[in-house]
Amino acid sequence: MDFSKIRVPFIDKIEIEKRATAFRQKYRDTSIPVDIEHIIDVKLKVNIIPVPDLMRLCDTDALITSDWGSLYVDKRSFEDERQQNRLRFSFGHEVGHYILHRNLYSGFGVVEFEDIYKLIDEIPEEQYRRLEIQANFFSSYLLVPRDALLRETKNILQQIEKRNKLEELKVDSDMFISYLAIPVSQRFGVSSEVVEIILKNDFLSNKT
Amino acid sequence: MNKQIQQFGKSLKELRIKKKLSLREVCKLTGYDPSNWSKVERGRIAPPSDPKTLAKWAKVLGLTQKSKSFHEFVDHAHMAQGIIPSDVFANENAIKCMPAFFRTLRNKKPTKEEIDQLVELIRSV
Repeated sequence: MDFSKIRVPFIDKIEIEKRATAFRQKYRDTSIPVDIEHIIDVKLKVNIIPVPDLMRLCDTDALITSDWGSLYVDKRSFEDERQQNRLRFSFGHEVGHYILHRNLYSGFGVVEFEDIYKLIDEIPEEQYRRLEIQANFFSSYLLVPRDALLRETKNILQQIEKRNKLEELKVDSDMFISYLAIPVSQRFGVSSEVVEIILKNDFLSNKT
Repeated sequence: MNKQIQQFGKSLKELRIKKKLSLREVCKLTGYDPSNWSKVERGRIAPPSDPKTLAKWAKVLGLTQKSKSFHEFVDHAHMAQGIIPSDVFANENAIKCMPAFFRTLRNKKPTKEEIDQLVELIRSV
């Protein structure tokens, strides 16, 4: 196969959100933070394999195998409490590949080791990036359900208002969102950067 | 011969899933290294031989001491001792162990060197 001709289908945010929500509902996870590691390990029965030095040597913290049966994860990240938010996002990202790209990948016809090298070498960078961006959006919608985010953000805004700090913070909207993202992100078990991006891009401007 | 290691690993995972314990949780409860636990489940290494360790595992997995299932668990672990596991890359399904996609920190395609490193890492786990 000529991998340079691969074109990754565009999937819009609405569709990605729909599929992330369906996945969460299928595994009956109404908890916040979403226990993605438990879903992968216990419900999907995918092997989680901690690998020493995966991050240091391969610049990656998680990856899913082509039979979708195992998920390799950097051992240090797996064991380090401080890395758990990033790790959870990586888990969501790999599930995103499984849900969004499983059929696409099977069409690549990767059957030998050489095919993997060829695929990675030949697939256009922007097409590869599209796969990664779609998986990132999936993880974002999976781990941060927008209805729960709306509720949580309003709660925290009310708490801030009670302390009469809202007006002074609203002076600088970027700083305000950064300030808000920290307590909200703690509730969802993701990094504050993830929540900050959501709040800036597709949330506060439209819904509040 | 390898079938005994594989079978023990499969049973170990089934027992863990039945108890709804994640790898992280079971390793916390048993004090065992998660990489090695995963290797035992996948038949990559033999289970421990120490009776105390096996008894602890059995207890965490909900097997009552002196029950039939407890004795079977310990017996199967002993039967899997001293067996050399097969090389995961020595069979035609090795490609299945390889990544479908990579998430690098740079959000870019991995380099050839990174794939080479990854093949070596996967061989070792």
